[in-house]
Amino acid sequence: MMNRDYKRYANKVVSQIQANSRTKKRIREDIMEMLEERALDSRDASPEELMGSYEEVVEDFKENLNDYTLTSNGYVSSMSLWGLPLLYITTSQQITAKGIIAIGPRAVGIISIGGLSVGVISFGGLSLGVISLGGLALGLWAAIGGLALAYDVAIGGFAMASSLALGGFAKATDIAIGGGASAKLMGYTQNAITPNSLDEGNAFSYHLPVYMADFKAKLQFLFPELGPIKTWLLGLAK
Amino acid sequence: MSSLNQQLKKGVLEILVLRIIKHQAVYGYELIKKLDANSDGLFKLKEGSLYPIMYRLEDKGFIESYRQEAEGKRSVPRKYYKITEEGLTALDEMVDAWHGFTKVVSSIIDKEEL
Repeated sequence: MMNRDYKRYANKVVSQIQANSRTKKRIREDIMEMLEERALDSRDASPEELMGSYEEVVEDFKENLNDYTLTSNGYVSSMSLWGLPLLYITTSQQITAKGIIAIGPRAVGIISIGGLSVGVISFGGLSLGVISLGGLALGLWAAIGGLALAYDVAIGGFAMASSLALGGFAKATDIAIGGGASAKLMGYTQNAITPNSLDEGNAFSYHLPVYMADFKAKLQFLFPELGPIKTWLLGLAK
Repeated sequence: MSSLNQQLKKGVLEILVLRIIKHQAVYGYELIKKLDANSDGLFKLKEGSLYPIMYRLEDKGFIESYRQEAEGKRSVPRKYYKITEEGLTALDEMVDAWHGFTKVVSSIIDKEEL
């Protein structure tokens, strides 16, 4: 019964600590070790009576393990903002880097860089953010990537967005420019596909660059209030 | 002041742990008790403070752990730590560095004029 209580206590502590699996295994074993040792002096005492509340033990490990993870898995800055380290870098596959700037195989932050990355500005193989860049990029506002999906602006091999999509194949509600394009206003070099939601008369396609002037005129007519960023992006696309 | 004490303690704990282990292998709880007893209570370590130090020292190759049967009702053999050759060398270097460091700091503190 005691052993089961010790295991439960040790597992509870370990579950609250961010560390790789090897470190967690060590911590679990050492907590069990210490409980057994302390129990020699205090028979039948609970783990909390022997070692203190699991929260206290967790906090103690967290405070001191940061120094340990510094040398073994990467870097965590001592400066923090809003409860997050300013910079968190890890090379570990088991730990998610979490910080204002987070870098690692898995990263979550205001600015995040990683294989799997989530952030306000996110760069990654698989990237999710307000502005997202990556192989597969999902952006709340904008996405740039091999496969780019965003609410407002998407640029990529395959790009899909509500307002503006630019890419090899571009699909949008409003404006799409690409090799293949599908939108209300399409600029294409190979194929234009009228969206199912629109009649032929309500969608406008222009083979570029041949009909660039007509495209520009229709763009100005349909979308006079594009905003500076999209106007700039369209300038680049031309 | 307590924050300064914390930082100072953290800096010397590796030296103290190696020093205790130098002549005799110890187990975790024993190490905590020895540190407490030899420091008049200044170093009252908890597990969360002790074990990250042990992991660091073990990963550096300065100490190694092993299990040995112990008296009393235990479900597993007790885990002991002993110092390695690399640990002995590292300890000598750390102690030299410590003596040099404290000598310089003390000389600055004790100077009349700077």
